[in-house]
Amino acid sequence: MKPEERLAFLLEYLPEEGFREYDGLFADFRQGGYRVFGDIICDIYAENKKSSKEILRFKSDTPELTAMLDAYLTCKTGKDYIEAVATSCRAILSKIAPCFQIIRYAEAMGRRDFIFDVLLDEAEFYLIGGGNE
Amino acid sequence: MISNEWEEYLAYVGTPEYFVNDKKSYPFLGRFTLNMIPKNNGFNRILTILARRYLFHNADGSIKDGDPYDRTDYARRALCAWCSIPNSKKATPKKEWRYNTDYRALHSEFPELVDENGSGWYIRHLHNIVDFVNANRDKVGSSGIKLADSIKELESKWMDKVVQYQVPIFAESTKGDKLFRFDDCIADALELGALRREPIDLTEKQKARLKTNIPEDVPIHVAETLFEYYLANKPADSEWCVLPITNIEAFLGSSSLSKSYILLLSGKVLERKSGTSNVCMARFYLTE
Repeated sequence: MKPEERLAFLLEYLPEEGFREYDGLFADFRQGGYRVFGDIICDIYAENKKSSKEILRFKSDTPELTAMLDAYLTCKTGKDYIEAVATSCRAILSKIAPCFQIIRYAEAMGRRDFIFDVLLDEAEFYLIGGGNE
Repeated sequence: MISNEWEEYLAYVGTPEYFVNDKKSYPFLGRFTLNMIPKNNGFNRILTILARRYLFHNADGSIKDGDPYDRTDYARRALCAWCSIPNSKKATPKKEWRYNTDYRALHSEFPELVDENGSGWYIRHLHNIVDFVNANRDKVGSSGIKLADSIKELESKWMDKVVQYQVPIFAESTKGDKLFRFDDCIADALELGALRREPIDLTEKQKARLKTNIPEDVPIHVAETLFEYYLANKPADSEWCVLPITNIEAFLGSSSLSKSYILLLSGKVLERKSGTSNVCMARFYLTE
């Protein structure tokens, strides 16, 4: 960009008064200065892309998923976040059916990983506590 | 003299003289050093000098008419030609989306920069160095022999470098914050303008002050070269100047500048800001 075009470009794309003190910096292309403005834009773009990947909540989330994510986000430092989410999940399941029934549904679906993550108490009862007798 | 930039340009397009005096010096490298070639250091300045020539000058050195901003594509083609390296005969044809490195098609436009086989000036210079070393292995130092024996590796690295040079300046697919590209040196060249053809002469007073203040171990011609470069390139609104140590060493024909002289001069006649051994910012205490 030619020297005489740079200030006009900055006034067009950064019209706010607060940017005027940076006109000298952004318009000075010596010693690689032409990269400063563009690199800042690229850094902001990369940061925004990264932030959007880290967003946990979306508008389309169900109330159940939102509740479990809340349990994760409010989990205290040092506490097991898996335990916190599992507790929230149990609370949601208990509104549908008792957990000692849910374990049977999970076993029928082949979801033993779910049983060990969320229904460990029930699993212990059935495996050790004589629940299968 | 180092401040004669047209002379520097000629060093990058002319026919170097391949000779050797002893095993400690490497004049057959031309305006390159053993530090530059294996690591591809110092090419920022070289490509910028070439870009300035094709943006601003005719072949005889006279200034071109018209707007240099209209000649950026022409300068880019010149850089491609200078850097050109032919593909290996056994290589599978590159896919269209991949960057080319073989610019034999530019031979008719830039016969001084690339030959009809796709060998650019730089790769031809490398091959000439290798041929010279192989013909004079008993006269060349071990570092030169090692360089010549690693030509395949040098060619491979250069090919990768030429691909890198062509990446657009704000390409999304690369983390391009520290890459150097053709676009960078053309932008620098537009800012720097035409090549200086009249060197800067130091006054007798400046030479005398330098001689008085430099340590004994630093040759006076090294200090004068540094100071001459500083005066020629210092911005008008700052005391600080970027010193391309690698390229100044190439002019001096010795890598002692980065290894010892610049350290000895720091605090005596100049002040340095933190930098690498290849480039730093410096200002001289004495300017008159």
